[in-house]
Amino acid sequence: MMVPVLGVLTFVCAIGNIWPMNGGAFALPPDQWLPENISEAGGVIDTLFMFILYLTGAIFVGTSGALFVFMWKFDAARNNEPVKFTHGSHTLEIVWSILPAATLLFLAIYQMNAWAEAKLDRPTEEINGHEVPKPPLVEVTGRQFEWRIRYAGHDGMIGTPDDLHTVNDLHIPVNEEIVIAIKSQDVLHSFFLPNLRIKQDVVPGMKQYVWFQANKKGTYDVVCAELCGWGHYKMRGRLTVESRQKFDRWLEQQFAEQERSEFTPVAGDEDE
Amino acid sequence: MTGDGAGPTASFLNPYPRDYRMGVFKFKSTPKGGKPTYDDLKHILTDGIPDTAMPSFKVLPENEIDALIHYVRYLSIRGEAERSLVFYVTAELDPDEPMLDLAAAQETRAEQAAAIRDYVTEVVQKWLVADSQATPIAAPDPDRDLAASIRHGRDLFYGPIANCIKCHGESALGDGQTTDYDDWTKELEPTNKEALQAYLGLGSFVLKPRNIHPRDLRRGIYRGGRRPIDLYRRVHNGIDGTPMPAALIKPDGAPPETKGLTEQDLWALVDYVRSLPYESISRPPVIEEAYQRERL
Repeated sequence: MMVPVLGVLTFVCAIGNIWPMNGGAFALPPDQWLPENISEAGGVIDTLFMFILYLTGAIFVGTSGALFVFMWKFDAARNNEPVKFTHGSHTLEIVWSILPAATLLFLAIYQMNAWAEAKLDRPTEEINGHEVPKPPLVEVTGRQFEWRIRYAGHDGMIGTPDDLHTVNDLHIPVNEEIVIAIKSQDVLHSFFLPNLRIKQDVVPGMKQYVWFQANKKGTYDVVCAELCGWGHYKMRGRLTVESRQKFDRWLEQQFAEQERSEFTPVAGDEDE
Repeated sequence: MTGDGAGPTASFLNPYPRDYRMGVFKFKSTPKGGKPTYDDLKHILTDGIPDTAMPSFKVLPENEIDALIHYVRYLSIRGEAERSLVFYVTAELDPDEPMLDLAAAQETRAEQAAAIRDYVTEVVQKWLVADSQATPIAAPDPDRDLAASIRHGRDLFYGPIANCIKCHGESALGDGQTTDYDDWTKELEPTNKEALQAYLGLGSFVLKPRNIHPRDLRRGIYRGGRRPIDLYRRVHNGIDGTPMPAALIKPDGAPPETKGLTEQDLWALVDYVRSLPYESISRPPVIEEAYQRERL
């Protein structure tokens, strides 16, 4: 009985940041619950998740409770009434088929928009009167065990000499619709931005796109979510969401460093 | 743990991790025989080495990267000092003569300890002067005719002075020769079958020798860094520990018959190498729309 009770308590404490999930004495670190959502489209995903969690939680508590009530009430040590047989209840069978089916149907329809927005409706833009898919700002290639990142540069095309190459360091302008092209150089990885609720397996040989709009500045994680080898656990990058000006300035600085043609040795010791 | 490049994952990696104990590093700003500077090691740690298993540690805090740089230097100093002491012991001392005889008189022990300290100091000294040995690089004329520079670079690439095609191949794919070894592998005497078997029999920490392949220059992947100064360093100083030679430099103002490459020549070579990945034959063929498989 402790299993369902403790299980439910774990969730409740994690969501509510209550001890022992709040970093106090003899406690687990705080923030055990979902990572902060900074994506425009992330809210509905979280809502769906919580809805399913509460629904299944309620059913779980209900059925576990019923189980233990019956185990208690009809314990042979206490109860000597003879067993009653029943031929079932047609009404009950219909009710407990219709209700879950209706719930699932509701969920299926409710989530259609969220799924479409995240996976199907690639952003478009208008060029010369034609609606074309928005070209990606950056191409992220998963490789054992890092994320190789290539920005399109001024010409807007990836694969030209003005591209900026970085590793594990992804910068994104805030409050803009961003399209990222993702691919893999060797094995399966999964491009996972927890705070943007974006996760997509990168499959070798397959070209894919993810898109989102970040609405809060800060530093977040890029992680790999598909086991790719011994280094999978440390295949972590840094996502920096910043203002458009800062982003442009960062691009310029990095590109200038990438194009650096001059070097003067520094006299004396660099370190103490 | 000893920095010998033979950790638990080493045998699965191609290329093998670096053995610090020889004190030789490939990608640095100093000439062959010199140690890398602090900034060279920092560059490798923060950017990693593309095309190898060396990852980028850019997400680590500054103080941790600093600590790592010092620890790599320590491992290399320790390894090189131990190696030089081993060579000293096998070359100079009798088989049962100890390097440091704790039972001997105080004076003898002091002498022996001083000799050991000298070997270590010699190694450390090389690291201390590294920062000042970095090759200064003057930028090329930003208004130069890039196309002409690339053409000149191509002539030098195929020409007799630089003779790049000897190793990098006539197609620059790195297939000019593939039978050479790097200095770390040469210690295992890979061409001497008996000796090699003996070395490999010592244990799993002795990694099977592999040939060193000249770089395929058409891929646009540069292990030591993709900045112009990085490529210039590779051509000017060569790559320590590998068959990639340093350029024979012809100083400005030398008589025209002098053999060698001027700084302008080196920049022309760099311009040519940088243009190679964008040549049409370096790019994958364009597949017809109808046969493309692209998701969304």
